[in-house]
Amino acid sequence: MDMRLWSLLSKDYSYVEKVDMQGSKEVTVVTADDGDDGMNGKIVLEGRGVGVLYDSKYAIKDVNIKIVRNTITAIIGPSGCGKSTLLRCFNRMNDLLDARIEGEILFNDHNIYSNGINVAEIRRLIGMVFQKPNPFPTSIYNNVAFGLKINGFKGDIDKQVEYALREAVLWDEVKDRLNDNAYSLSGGQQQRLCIARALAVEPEVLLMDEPTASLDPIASAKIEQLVTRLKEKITVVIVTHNIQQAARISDYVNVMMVDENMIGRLVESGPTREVFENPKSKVTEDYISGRFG
Amino acid sequence: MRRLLDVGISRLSNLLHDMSRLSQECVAMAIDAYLKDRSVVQEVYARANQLAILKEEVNDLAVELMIRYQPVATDLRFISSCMEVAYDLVRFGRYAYDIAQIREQLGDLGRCDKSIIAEMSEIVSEMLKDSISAFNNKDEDLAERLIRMDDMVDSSYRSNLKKIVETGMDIRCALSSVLVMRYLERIADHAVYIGELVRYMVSGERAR
Repeated sequence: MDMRLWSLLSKDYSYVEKVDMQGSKEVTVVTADDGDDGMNGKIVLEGRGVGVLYDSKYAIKDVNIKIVRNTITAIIGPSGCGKSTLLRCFNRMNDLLDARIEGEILFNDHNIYSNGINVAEIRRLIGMVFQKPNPFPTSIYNNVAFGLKINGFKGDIDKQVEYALREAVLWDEVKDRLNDNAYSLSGGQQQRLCIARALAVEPEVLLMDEPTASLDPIASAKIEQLVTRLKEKITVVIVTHNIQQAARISDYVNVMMVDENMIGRLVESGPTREVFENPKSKVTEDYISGRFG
Repeated sequence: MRRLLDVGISRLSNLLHDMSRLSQECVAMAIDAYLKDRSVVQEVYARANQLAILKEEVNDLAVELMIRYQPVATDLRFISSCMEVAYDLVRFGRYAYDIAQIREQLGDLGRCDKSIIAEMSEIVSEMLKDSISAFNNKDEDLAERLIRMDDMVDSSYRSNLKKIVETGMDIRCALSSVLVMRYLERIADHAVYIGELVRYMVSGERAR
C-alpha cells in the first residue's frame, strides 16, 4: 500500500447535523466515524452486492466495491459495461431512470437506499459532474450560487462562490466577469464551472462521469490537475474511457467488463500502480493493453 | 489484430537477440583466448563496442514505445526489463573485454595453470546461456536455477582465491587468475540479474 495515500487519511471527521430544506425536517447525516485505525473509517462509500436492473434485465450485478476517503478512484471498462450505471448508484441518480437496485450502497456506513433517507441531501453530499458541461443558462455567479440558495445556505454567498471558483481553478479567469452568461465560457471553463457548482455546497464525494470526454487535451489536463488537488478535501470517483487518464490521476482502479450474458461485472480492483503494472485478471490485462475486442 | 505496439516490441526483441548473440560471442572468445594464451582484444573490443551502440538503440526504442503507446502490464514489464537486460548484456561485453586485456597487460601467460579458470568459466558460460534463454523464453524455472548456479560460482571464487594464496603461485599467473575469476564472478552476477528480471516479467515480482 502506498504510504503517501494513508498519510492523507488522518482528517478528523465528526457527526454533523444537516437540515433538509425541502421538507423543513431535520435529519442527521453521518459524515464520518473515523474513530478507529482500521479500514472502516477510511471507507466513505461501499457497494455490497450491487445490482441494477432496467426492465428486469441486469445492467450490472454482484458488484462489491469500496471507495477510500480522500482518494481518487477510477472506474474503467469498455462501453456498455455498466460504469456509469454503477456511478449513478452512489448518489441515487438511477432513481430517475426507473431502475431497480439490489444490494446496498453504504455512505459512511449508512445504506443510502434505506427508507427515510433524504435523497436531496445525499446528492448534496455526493455531488456529480457529467460528461457534457451543463451550466444553467444564467450568469457564472448564479450557476455557483444556485445550489447554495436552494440548500438554504446561511453564510456569505459571495465568499462561498469565490471559494468554489477558486477550488475549481476558475476564479482568476472569471473574477472580472461573474455576471457574464455561463455559455460565454469555453468548454473546459464550463466544465470547471460545473465542478465549482458541485463544490460550492461542500460535498464529501464528487462523482465524475467522463468529465473530460468532450474537452481538448489542455482543458482535460486542467481538470486532471484540479481533481488531483481536490482529493485533499474530498473523495473523487471518476468514470473514464481514457485508460491513461485513470493511470495518471487515480489512486485506485476498478475494472468492469460484461460477462457472457452481457451483464456488467467488476472484474478487478486495486491500487492503480498494481493494476497497471501487474493486473491479476487476464481480461484486465487485455483491456488495458488494447488487446480487447 | 496485431497492435502497433506489437511491431515495436518485436523490433525490441530482435535487438535483444542481436545483443545476446554478441555478448555470448564476446565472453566465449575472451575465455577461449585466455585459456589458449591468444590475443583477441581487437575482436572483443569491436563486439563490446557494438553492444554499447545496440544498448542505446534499445533504450531509444523503449522510450519511444513508452511515449507513443504508454504500455502497461506485461508490455510495460517487458519493455522496462529490456532496458535493464540491455545493460546487463553490455556488462558481459565489458567483462569479456577486461578478460581479453589481461594478456596485453601482464604478457605471456602460457606457463600458467588455468584449470581453475577452465572449471569456473564452464559454469559461468552456462549461466550466461541460460540467462539469455530464460529471457527469450520467459522461463522462470531456468531463472531460478541461475541463483543456485551463482552460489556455486561464489563458493568456487572464494575457495580458489584461498588456494591461489596458499599455493604461492607465480605472481603473474596468480594475478591473472584472480582477475579473470573476479570478472567471471561479475558476469555470473549479471546473469542472475537477468534471471530476476525474467521473474519480474512473468509474475510482476521484483527481487528485493
